Amino acid sequence: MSAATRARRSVALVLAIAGVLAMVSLSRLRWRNPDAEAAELRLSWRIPAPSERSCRPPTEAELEGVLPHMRPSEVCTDEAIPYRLTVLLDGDTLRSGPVARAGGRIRAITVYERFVIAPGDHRITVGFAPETASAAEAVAMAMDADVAAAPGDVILVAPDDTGRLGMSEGR
Amino acid sequence: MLKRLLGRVLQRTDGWVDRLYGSKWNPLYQSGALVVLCLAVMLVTGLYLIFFYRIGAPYESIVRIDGQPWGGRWIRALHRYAADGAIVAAVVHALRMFCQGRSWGPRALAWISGVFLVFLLYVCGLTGYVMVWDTHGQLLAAEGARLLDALPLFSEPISRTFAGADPIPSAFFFMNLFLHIAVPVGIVIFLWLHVSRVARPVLLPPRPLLWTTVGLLTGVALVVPAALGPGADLLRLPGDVTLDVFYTFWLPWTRSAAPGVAWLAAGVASAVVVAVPLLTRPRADRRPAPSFASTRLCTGCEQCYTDCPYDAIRMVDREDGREGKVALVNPAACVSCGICAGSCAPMGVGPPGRTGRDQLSRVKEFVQRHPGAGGDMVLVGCGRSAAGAWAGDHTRRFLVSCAGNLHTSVVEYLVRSGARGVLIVACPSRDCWGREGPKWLVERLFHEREAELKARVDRRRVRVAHASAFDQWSLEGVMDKFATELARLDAPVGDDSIEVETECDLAESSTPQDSPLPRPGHTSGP
Repeated sequence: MSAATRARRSVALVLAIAGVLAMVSLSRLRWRNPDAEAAELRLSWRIPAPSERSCRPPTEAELEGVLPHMRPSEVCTDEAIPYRLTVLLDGDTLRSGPVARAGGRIRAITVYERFVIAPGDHRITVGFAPETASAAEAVAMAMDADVAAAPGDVILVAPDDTGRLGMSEGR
Repeated sequence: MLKRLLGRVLQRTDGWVDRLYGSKWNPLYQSGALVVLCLAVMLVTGLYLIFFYRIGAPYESIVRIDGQPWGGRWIRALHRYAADGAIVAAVVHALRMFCQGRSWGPRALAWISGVFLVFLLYVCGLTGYVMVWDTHGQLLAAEGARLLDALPLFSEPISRTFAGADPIPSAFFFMNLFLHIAVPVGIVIFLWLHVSRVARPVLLPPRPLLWTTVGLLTGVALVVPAALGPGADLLRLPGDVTLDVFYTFWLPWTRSAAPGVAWLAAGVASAVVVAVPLLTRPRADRRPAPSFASTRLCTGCEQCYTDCPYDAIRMVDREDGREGKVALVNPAACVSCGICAGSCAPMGVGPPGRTGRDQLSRVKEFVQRHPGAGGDMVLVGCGRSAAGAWAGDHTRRFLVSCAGNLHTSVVEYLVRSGARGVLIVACPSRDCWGREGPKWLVERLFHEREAELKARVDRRRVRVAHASAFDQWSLEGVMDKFATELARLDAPVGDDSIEVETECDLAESSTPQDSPLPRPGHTSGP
């Protein structure tokens, strides 16, 4: 084998190894997620089908044409209860508005909100309640708490086993 | 413009890589086969890893796998690097096809199925990263859920799964595992579709390249273990993350973009890639016409049917009262490579203007026009090879559209007309735009494959070289060596009355009009 061929083969081998190493380096590139410089306030819960049922006796017209043994004693309608979510951070409003329902009008309400917040001490106030006063028995949740958020922390606001809003902090 | 620029870069790179590795082992020519090789490596290593993966404790099981220094750790690294290799090779392969204009017409199916193959490869890779469930997997899952929530697919936001209020259900990891295993089945189906229009598909690279690739990937897997970040913690925002540029290059950008913008960008990019067959299709008047078969000249020998690299020729019953079969070209499958022209002894098949008869007429003119070329070496070659880019004496150069298109009667004519030697320059065998041109050329010249070079032609005066357009270095080397060998031979004696056998009348017209349409819907001419 001539010296030129040996040199060419050596270069070819070195280049092949360099190529594979370059590929491997690109497959393990370090990246600093800028989101981790801040903290995140996260709200997550789901309440099943909050609705208001109103019933009345059926009218004559409604009973007409229905077989006697199939006539209902009352006719009921379910009305979705509109909900409002309010989130305050140190007294400033992060969000205040109605909560959209998932799918149909009497489907469950799912709350999933994320807010980027600056690291440090904060006071967090969350209110989740029906918008109509008539729905007094419907689920309502509220929370008012102080929190110390470090960079990269997730402050999770979610109901506990008793249905009261509580906070979990990542550390 | 972009195509031409990229093509130029690609040709130059090919030339340099040819110089280093030789055209036979140039990995750029084997990019498609390297994808399949990487898939095979992923399959074998994946089978091992699946025994140790636990959907109930995904991260812990990966840590355990990485704790096996002689088994799991390097096998997982090999699995991952092969996945990266597959993407790199697929992109190179697609770029080559794009630059070479091999993405439209009958090749559109291969292009589209190739795009789907890459998409499935991506899905497979992304599910694999989520399966690890480290901070990278967490970021991917959360970002994927955020993007999916922007689409009207789910009644409730699936991002809540990663809110951290509840543990991740094992059904999520089962779904990932299922997709990671099921998607490769789709890959196999699309791979079959990808090669369904070609005859004798070559799925693996030559053994030396195959084992070198596996060896290099294994070596690097032994030395550099696959990255594994800290375990996912849904109540912490992942900070330092190890990204895989080949699979998750988009992550830093989409994190700061609105989901709608991200989907729009992905949609536009996908649409452009899928539309390449339409965008790269030449104007109707510039498209090369498909081959046609002359039913009168066809003897039914089946050689063109055997040689066609695209299965575009069928043998059908004759309808002209003669016995036997006749070749019938399917224009929808024909890419006009012209390889059939080189396979036909009576020169009755080929694209218009490029049949054996057309070549014979051209070479006669060439010899008459350049009488000085007799007694010297004549360069015959594919226009895309080094012969096409040759800067030497053009009076000694005779070009054809593909080395496989070259009819051996041309070589015979040149030798018998007094050329000292005929050097035929073909593209590197794995980079032939007609797939099998160089292979059939050598068979026809030296191994008596139809239409073979006649025994009366002195083989010492005929040589084949494989050199890509920018590999003039190889070509010059072969030319010098061949010239030295020719100098040792007696001076050539020109034949004044050359008769080349064509079995049929030479005056036979080779226009498409003499090819009737035996079956409705299948024309043998344009």
